[in-house]
Amino acid sequence: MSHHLRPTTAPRPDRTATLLAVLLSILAFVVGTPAHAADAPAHFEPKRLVFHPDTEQLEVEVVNDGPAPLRIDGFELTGPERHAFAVAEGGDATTVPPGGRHRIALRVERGAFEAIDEATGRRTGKFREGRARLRVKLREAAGAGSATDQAIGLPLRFEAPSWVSAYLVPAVVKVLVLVMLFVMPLASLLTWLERKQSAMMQDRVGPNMAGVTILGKRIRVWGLLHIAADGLKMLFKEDLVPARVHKALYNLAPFLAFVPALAVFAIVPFGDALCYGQLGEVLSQADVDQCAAGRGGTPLQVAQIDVGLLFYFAIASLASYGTTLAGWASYNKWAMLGGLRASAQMISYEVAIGLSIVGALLCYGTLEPHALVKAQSETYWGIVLQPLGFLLFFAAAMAETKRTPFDLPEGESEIVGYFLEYSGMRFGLFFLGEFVEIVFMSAMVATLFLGGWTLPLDMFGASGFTSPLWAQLFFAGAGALLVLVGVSALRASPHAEIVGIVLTLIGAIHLALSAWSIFTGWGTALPHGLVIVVGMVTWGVKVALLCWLQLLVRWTLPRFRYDQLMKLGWRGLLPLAIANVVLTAVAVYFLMPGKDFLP
Amino acid sequence: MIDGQEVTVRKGTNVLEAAKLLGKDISHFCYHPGLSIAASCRQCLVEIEKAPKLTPSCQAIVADGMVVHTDSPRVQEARRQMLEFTLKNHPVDCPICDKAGECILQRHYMDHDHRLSRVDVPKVRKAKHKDIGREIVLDQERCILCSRCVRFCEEVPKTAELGMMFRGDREILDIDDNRRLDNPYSLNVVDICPVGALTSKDFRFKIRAWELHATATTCNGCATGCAIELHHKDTRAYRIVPRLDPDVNSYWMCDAGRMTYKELDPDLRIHHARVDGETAPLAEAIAEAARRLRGKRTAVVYSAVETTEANLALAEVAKVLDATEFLARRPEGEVDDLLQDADKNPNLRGARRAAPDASDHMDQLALEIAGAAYEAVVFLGGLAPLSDVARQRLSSLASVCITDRRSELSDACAIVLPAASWAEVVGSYVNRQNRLRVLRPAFPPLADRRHPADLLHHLAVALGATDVPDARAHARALAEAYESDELRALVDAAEDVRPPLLRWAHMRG
Amino acid sequence: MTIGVKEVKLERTAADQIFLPAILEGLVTTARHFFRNTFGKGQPGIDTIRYGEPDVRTEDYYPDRYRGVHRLMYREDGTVRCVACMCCSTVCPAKCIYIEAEDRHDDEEKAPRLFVIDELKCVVCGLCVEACPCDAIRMDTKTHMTAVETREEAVLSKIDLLKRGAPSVAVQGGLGPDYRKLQPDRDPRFPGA
Repeated sequence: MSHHLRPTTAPRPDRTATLLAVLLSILAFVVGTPAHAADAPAHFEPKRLVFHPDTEQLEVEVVNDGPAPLRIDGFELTGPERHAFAVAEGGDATTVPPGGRHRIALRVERGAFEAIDEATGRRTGKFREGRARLRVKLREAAGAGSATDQAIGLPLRFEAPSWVSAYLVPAVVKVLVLVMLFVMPLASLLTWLERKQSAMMQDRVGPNMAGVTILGKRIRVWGLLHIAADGLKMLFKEDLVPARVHKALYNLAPFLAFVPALAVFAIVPFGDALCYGQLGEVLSQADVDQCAAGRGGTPLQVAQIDVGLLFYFAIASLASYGTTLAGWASYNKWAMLGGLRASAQMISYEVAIGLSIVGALLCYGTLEPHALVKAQSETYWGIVLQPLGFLLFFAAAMAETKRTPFDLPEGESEIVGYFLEYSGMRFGLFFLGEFVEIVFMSAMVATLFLGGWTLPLDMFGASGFTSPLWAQLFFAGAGALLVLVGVSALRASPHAEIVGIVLTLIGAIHLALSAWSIFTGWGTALPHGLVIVVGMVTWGVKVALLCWLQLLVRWTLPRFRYDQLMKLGWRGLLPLAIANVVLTAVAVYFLMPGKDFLP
Repeated sequence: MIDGQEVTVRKGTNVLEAAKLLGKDISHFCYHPGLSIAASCRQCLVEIEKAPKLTPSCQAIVADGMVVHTDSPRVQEARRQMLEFTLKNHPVDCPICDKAGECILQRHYMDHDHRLSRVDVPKVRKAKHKDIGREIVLDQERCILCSRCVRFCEEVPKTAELGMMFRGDREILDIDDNRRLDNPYSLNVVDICPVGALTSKDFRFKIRAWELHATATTCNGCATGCAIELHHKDTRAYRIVPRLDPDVNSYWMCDAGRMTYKELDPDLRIHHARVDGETAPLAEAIAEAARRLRGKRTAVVYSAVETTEANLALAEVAKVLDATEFLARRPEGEVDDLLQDADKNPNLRGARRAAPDASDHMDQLALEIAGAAYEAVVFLGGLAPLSDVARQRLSSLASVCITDRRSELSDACAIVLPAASWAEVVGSYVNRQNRLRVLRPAFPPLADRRHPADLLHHLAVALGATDVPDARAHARALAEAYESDELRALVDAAEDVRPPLLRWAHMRG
Repeated sequence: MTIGVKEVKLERTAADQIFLPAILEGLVTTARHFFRNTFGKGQPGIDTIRYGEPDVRTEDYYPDRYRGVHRLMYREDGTVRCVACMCCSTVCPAKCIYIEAEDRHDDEEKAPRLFVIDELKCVVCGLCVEACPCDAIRMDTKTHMTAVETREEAVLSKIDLLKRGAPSVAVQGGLGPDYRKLQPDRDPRFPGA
């Protein structure tokens, strides 16, 4: 490779100026965000209370931020709708020690907001919005002289959002964000990465030719544009339908393979929760939890279903219809064999994959992925509590995606596979669906065993890093890595200047943030928007790394023989998964009940 | 006693033939069983006990108690040395030479020498591609001076055009200045030439010998019915060479007979049935012919050129139609007392056997057709010499022509059925000696072509006849009648016997 | 002699049985290559020909015996060397060579009237070159058969083949009378030479 790996010159001075300008503007933005510090000696957690018709009573805590004990003198409800709200508990005068908390429960009389049909006089079940404010009078309890009375206010809101605004619109937006900005780009990237990574692993060059010519300059970012070229090719290729296929099923099969792969993403949480209108504020976990419950915000998960994992198993099983029907409807003996193998393999490994996560479910006590992630961040990650479960799930997930070493359904060298007769974009759907499945399986592993969007060791919470040291370490590490990759990219290929420069720039920003934190202690109170971004990026990096790992496995291991495949599924993974369930159950029964280990 | 094996032969047999009986092929150039013995090539030297030196086996007559070694080291060495000597001035231009692939010199070199040349002086140059006759090109460089051709010309056609001139390494084969090798058997010298010195103008550079398939069959040039091998590649014939038949033609055949392969040219053939000038599917054409012929006043014309089977099948049709019978034949031609017969029809006797009462008077038929005496005519073969008036009448009659290639007659007839040629059928002729001569299929009839007897069989069936024999049944009956095992075996054989490739067959010499 | 059965037991440790150590070992190996090639200087000693890059001449990389598109050689007088001996068309396993001979009416006697190679049928085995007794057909052009729009374009005629040709002065029938000085014991099949 000597003649293409020649070192390229580092960014030239004019670029350095741009770099500095961007860096400074970002710093200015970060510095300019409001810090945690406030004038008041205490604050509410959460910062606002949002009532829904089905939540009549909510709790809020007053946290003493000051150095001295605080005397709470009383509560006062203000605002036009104040009569509809009432303090249910904790309304007595009390003293809060420094750093202490006082819990108050508030009730709402929802009848006050309900519209009444004028003709019949009946309640209609339709609610209007209402607002009020809770004022808490505070007084420093220490010291003889009574300091100036202070009061802090808590906005109260009653709202009854329609199904559209509460679920449909956020869901559509989240689907678009997740699928368009993450899953599909990553899946298409994987089609290229698969080839490029295998080339790198095998000392080859890999795809590097596709490019565009802009202003006479050929831009070939490591052949990254092969994605576009391949996509265009698939779209414009002739769509051949062999003469004797079962037309309806033949046409249906690619969609049956592709749609479930995308649909299961509905349950994957890619962040904690988004609070409307509070992106610039520093929020507490209580705020975020309230948003995650759908009040005043929305969880970063398309569908928060209590039986989320069961939903996943139900939908993912449909994908085997796609492969089986494709094989059967193609009227081709090889496709038929591929379809048979696919159905046998997917059914076999679905058993193992289902059992392998039961251990994790026992540990965390929930089937809902969002809650699973929260449980992991509060205790330990799944990979710590369930190492065997992790391995089993990862292996079975590889088998579910039908990739080497489990690629018998599409053994290119012998039977080509169940999609043998497909061409054009129909084949493209199978092809892309497979990569979507890879992304999904990585997301599932990240969610179930690697703590989803959270960072390890409780280093990052709802209001930012738990300690400035974590912030410094995190940004220094990430920055160093990005700079390393960026510089290597610059050196490795003359065609990748832009990518290399961008990566190096982002890395430099990280390093600068780390340095900034060392001097100012910045990082513990980040605005909500930034926290969300960090969470999503964390999740994305985990998923991307797991995808990379799957590719690494795929290009390292040879294919199983069919009997070995079945043996591994039924006599290897399945007994181990059962053993894992039993052991976990015993351990949970004897070690964990009642312990604060569990949520 | 040859190489430890005892053999008893007729008196006067030479050692070479005796060894051949034991399956030992003693290499030789100049010896040819059909010619006198010259013993000039010295290639067939063998060791005979009690003889002082090695003896040419072609010249040594077997005697009582003779002990011969054909493969002793001494013999092998002598053989190799003779071969080297023979090759010394041979140009080894095998890539150009037409004989390559069936060359005896090549074969002996591979069998007995197979070494690099030790010659380090320039070879003697002689005349190349010298035109010495109507059919023959001579290459004096390639000639190994075996004198087979000289002896042939002296002994068989007794014309003696060729001779050896000069001596030593300047010796050449040549013709007299004022003569040319134009006798009617001249092409036989090409066959007997062990190298490519004498080549045929007609076959020159057409195809390499190893690409040819060989089918043993019978010449249809005249009533002699020489045994021949038809050499062909796929469905194209390239040449005809004689095959040994001691009773009919010995080792030879005439030049005219060799050219009969040209009528197998696919471009001249009829591939599909035609009805009123339009190409029609075969089955429909036969049905149409039967419809037009039924109940008409009909004449049928037998052919002395077609096989006996076809003529017999026509006889069945004639019986159904109750037709007047005629027999068409080729005009008489050149004759000599060797092989060429004045009767140029290969199967006059066979046709007569099928139709003993048929009239020979074709001009009468022409007059009657012109005079509208018949409503329908069935021709076998494209032979019938008709007047222009009669031919013009044909298209308006129910005229059916069963022929393998286009002719004036086939163009004139209303319905033409595509027949297989003599190179595509199992069939038989009866020659002037009243012997049954067998035709073997060299290649399958392509397109719609069928055995003419089969076509007539289908026609007879379409005309309502029952229990009509087909070509195979006719052939079997003929085989029984003439007690011909050859034809019987052929009829009973599996459908497609692919003829052997010449390169796998034993090379001639 | 009786036939016995010898049982050979594979030594499989527990580590082998659970595959994981071996898998990890493999992953580490492939990952090492991945990182070295992606972020480092690449694997030493491995040079990839950048085929198709505008500044790369593939001819420079092909070995001398690379078999490219056929060509026909000239004699010194500019006529085709081929004598239409059909050795190449006979030996061709793909039957992609079609030759028709004609008479040259000079001392060389024979030449191809038609010499057609269907490059789509050609399997590039090189047997035609081996078989040629006249050094007339060669495959040393170091060029691929280029993609064509129609099948006819891939059927090369004598003229097409001669365009790539060059004069050949090879001596017919081997090295000639001085072969012993030129190359003693050239062919092991002929020890007596």
